[in-house]
Amino acid sequence: MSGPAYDGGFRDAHDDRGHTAAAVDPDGLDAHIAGLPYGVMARETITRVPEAPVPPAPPAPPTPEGPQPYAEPEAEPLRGVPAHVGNRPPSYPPHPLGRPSVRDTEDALAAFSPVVLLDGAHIGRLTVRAASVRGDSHNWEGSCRQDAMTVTRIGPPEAEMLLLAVADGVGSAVYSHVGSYELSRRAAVFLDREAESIHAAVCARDENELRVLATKAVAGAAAELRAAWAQAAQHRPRPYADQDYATTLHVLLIPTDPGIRDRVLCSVGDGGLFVLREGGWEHGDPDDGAGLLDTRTEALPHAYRSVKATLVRTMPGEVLLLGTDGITNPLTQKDPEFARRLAEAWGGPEVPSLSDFLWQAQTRAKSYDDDRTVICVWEERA
Amino acid sequence: MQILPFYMVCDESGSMAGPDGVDTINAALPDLHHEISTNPSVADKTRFALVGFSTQASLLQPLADLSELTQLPSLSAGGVTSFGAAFRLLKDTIDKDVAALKSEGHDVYRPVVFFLSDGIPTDDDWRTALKELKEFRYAPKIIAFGIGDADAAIISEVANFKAFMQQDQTVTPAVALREFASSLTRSIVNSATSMDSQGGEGFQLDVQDHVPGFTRVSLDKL
Repeated sequence: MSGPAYDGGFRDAHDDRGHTAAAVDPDGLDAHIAGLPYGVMARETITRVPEAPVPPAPPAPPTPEGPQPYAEPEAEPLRGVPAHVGNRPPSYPPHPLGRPSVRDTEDALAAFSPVVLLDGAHIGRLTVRAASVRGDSHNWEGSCRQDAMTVTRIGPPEAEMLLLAVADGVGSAVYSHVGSYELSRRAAVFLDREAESIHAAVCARDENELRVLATKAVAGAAAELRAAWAQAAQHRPRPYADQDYATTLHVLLIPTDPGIRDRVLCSVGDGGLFVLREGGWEHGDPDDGAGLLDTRTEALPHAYRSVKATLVRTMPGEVLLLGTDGITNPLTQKDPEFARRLAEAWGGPEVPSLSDFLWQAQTRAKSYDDDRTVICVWEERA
Repeated sequence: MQILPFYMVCDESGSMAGPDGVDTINAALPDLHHEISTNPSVADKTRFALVGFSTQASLLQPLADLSELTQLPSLSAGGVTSFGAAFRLLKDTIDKDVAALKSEGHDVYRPVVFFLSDGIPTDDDWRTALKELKEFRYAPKIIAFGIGDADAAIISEVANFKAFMQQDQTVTPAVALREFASSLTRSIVNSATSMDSQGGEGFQLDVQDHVPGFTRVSLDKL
């Protein structure tokens, strides 16, 4: 703190200030600074020339143990490796390993996909935290994350909705990461075109109409992308095939008007929505029990019959969780520890910070090594 | 946890003595152990057990996480070929193992059995025992391999997933046994790593249609 280099800087600061301090000290800032114990002010504060009126400096925060001016920050408690449930952590290394190379592949998306995506929003009373993390098995193989997610808004101000999407590229499909990435975005664009009608149908609680609208939008997005993918495939040795791009898709639409209590989930394939109510996770989209159609095996862009639309009514204080099966499988496993831990982390009075949310979303559970995408929504009470 | 249990069931009858029998399998077991225990995408999801049978059947290695074992036991030949003893022990073991895993809070996939014999059964009631094994609540998927004097019809009757017979003349039993062991290892690795793409709702039991040194036998009954 008192080395020659620092003293030099300090002296220069005084010199700079000397030219103006006498003339411009309307609010007594300089006097305030001069009265402070040596070393309390940070260097950049002192070098600042008050060219314009500056509000008085806030009083120094109370320091019961007396001033500790230049103390290095105490070693912050580091989060370290994400916590694990069960007796032993997974055998996989807990940090990012290899990844696809630009050289090895014409598949630019694979080479450039971040292994972790972190996102969030605060719109009206809604707060969003979102993370998409490459699973241990893809990390181990050095292949890219096949999950995708989107956090955005659609619709005009009077019919605005928060749009949250998660997509899980089918593991065995060569370009499933392309399918999940592009479909989750194009579906948002096509849903935006139907936003007024969707908003009206949510208000009317018309699930049938919602299914029609969601199917129209998702089918439109899928048709556009299939044409583009088929076109791109003409320049590749591998002929175009729908199943190479297979992905699931779940889109949750939440009207930003807090007076509207319904939300709609539009789904193709497995994964899904959970609601944290009174400390427990409840399925937001329980199977309708029709039994004829195994929705779990459905996938875009081709292997589905229609988009399932489910209305979900939630109250402020409840937490919505939209996820791919990388999170919903450990969440619904027989052993309740994983579900309990996330309920504790996300069911408290405080919305977690982005970094805390990521750390919590990465909670490790042996044998669950799939890509994991999770978007949570908190709603303030009025 | 999601757990996929594998059972290796090997003939230890007198005819399996020497390099054309148990010696070759014993030599292949460390590779199998290493391959499975050092690959986290397999080690974390699978459990492995080893059953030997001759006049009696014995559970040589109870169902275990291979990454927690330092070595596998070995097979030793002697006695006759009681299929019935093997099937009864297998059913009893699987029943207890699955119940124990479930009670520990695990999600258990249908067990997989790799069965190997070099002869025809010497006991009379093996079909009854096989029927009970194939029909009980945790009935396993069975892949059966026949070498030496094994009978193709009986091997295909034991299997309910895939069956293979050693190719005549072209390969020695030792070569066939090495291929049996590596086919088993590949199946465990590929099946375990396929679990993610099945959305947690099942797994693709991945057994090659072509195992070098073997001919695939149809399971269709005529």
